[in-house]
Amino acid sequence: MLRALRIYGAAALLLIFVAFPLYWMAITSLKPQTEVFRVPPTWLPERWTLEHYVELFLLTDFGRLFLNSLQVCLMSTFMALAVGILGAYALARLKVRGKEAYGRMVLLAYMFPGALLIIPLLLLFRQLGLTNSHLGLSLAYLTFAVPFVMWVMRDFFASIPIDLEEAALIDGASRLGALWDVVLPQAVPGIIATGIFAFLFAWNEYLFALILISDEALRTLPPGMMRFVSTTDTNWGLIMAASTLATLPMALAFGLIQRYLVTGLGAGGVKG
Amino acid sequence: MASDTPQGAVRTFEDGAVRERAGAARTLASTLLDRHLGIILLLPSALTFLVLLVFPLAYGIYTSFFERHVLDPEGTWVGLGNYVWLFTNPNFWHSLLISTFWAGATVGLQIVLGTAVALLLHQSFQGRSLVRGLVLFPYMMPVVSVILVWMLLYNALYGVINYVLVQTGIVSRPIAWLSQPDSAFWSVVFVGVWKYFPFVVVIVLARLQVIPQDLYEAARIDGAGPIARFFDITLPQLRDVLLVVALLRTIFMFNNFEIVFLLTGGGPLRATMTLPILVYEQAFGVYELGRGSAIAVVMFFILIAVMSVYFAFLRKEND
Repeated sequence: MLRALRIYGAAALLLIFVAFPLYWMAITSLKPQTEVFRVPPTWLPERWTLEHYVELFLLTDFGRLFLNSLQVCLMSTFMALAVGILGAYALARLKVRGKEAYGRMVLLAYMFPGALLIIPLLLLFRQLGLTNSHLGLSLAYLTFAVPFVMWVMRDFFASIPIDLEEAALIDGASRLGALWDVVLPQAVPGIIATGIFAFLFAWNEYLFALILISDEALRTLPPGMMRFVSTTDTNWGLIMAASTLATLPMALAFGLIQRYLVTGLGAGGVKG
Repeated sequence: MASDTPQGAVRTFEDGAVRERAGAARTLASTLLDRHLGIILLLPSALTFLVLLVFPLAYGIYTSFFERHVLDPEGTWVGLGNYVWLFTNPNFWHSLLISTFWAGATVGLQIVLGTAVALLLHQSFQGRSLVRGLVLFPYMMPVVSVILVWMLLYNALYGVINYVLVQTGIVSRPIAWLSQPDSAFWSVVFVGVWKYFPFVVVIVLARLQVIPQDLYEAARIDGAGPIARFFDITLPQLRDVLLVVALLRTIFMFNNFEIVFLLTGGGPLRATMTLPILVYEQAFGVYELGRGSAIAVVMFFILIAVMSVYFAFLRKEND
């Protein structure tokens, strides 16, 4: 009895610690402007309103920021999956000289800090005309997305039983055919989970987005949202509405991949 | 292996010869493809790394030997000048110290909190899967959303944290958490712990689930209490995974730019000026690209040092 009480007490504390900021974000976005600044604060809105969400789409460029982010993140995720899956399969299954060293290099690449890369990337991208370009930004995101996909998918491929693949090879399939027809269909859950993580890392990224894109029309969500703090006279209701909407893709993805979270997080460690 | 079992084994008499030739050609091509498939599949990633990581890294090192700014965009060779500037500049040593404190404090607290929460979520209780799911939210939440909501919570005038602390009498008047040197550091540490401790929870929880139960049974029979069981069984079993997690998190936190930069911008009075922010300040604040690159190169060597400890540890593990 006492033990149960302790466990539920601890769980309740944990819930408050984790969920209160989320709750406060959502609830503030639903309060009218005057109520947001009230002391003592109201724990539930006295008057529920969607005015900040309407404002967000009518008076700010939030919609465009959101679409720009979506475009960049989708491009970089698909490129990273295409490049990373092929490499991961080779690392997991094929005989290649020096692949252990290559695998270590991939992990090292994955640890590269953005602050280390941003100066040379900016200079390089200027030369190539890739600044102020969604393609350029999504290429920059490959610096962490490709190593991530390779690292996680290598373990995932290694965990798939080799028997079916061998049977396909004995039946006369080529290696590539076996990868396409036998291995990939089994790997779909892993690919989806990995892809979602790669998407989220890109969705969250701030430094590259800030430096590589200066054209307001092309700006993505993270630097775009930080601009609201100074330009809108700190309208916290509006800012919390934007924060809530920016969290939505994460919440949706979360429902999809909850079962695979341990795969994604456990295999080699996740960027962040 | 495919070459041992050529395709086209089922064939009719009429076109058998034709099929056999086609089969042989296909087999040769696919044998060649199969033999070099590993290299072929690794090529796109190798190209990506070469263009987007290796070349920029080399170019960054190259840039660190130049004085390069707005008035001199092509740059002037200064040899080790930027490094001399760096190592004789108190701001660099200050930032190295701040970065070390920041990484040490956030990782230490993440490990302690993450392990405690993993132990809690390993117990069975009603609603456990809901709590397990919710615990991951801070980690998955976009950094900018995290920053904005904590700015609101920390706000000196109408922030909830101040309201609760004043009401309960813990502090006598509201604190401007993020704009005073002494409170700013621990305020950003708190956010860093809140956002990233779920990473530790997931990995420790996965490890807890594979500790053999009979170890605990044996200890219970020997009369060991819960605290003794934790120190004698759980902690030794978790030791290796905790070391790996601590190393990974140290690298990530040491390199983390966004959390601190967006909350305080490195201030007040450089109290939270970590190395990544110093790079940003030099490169994009005062446009000294050479100096910024030199700091980045130093960070790279710190990364290499920590990673080689990690790889040495993994090698020891595998033996």
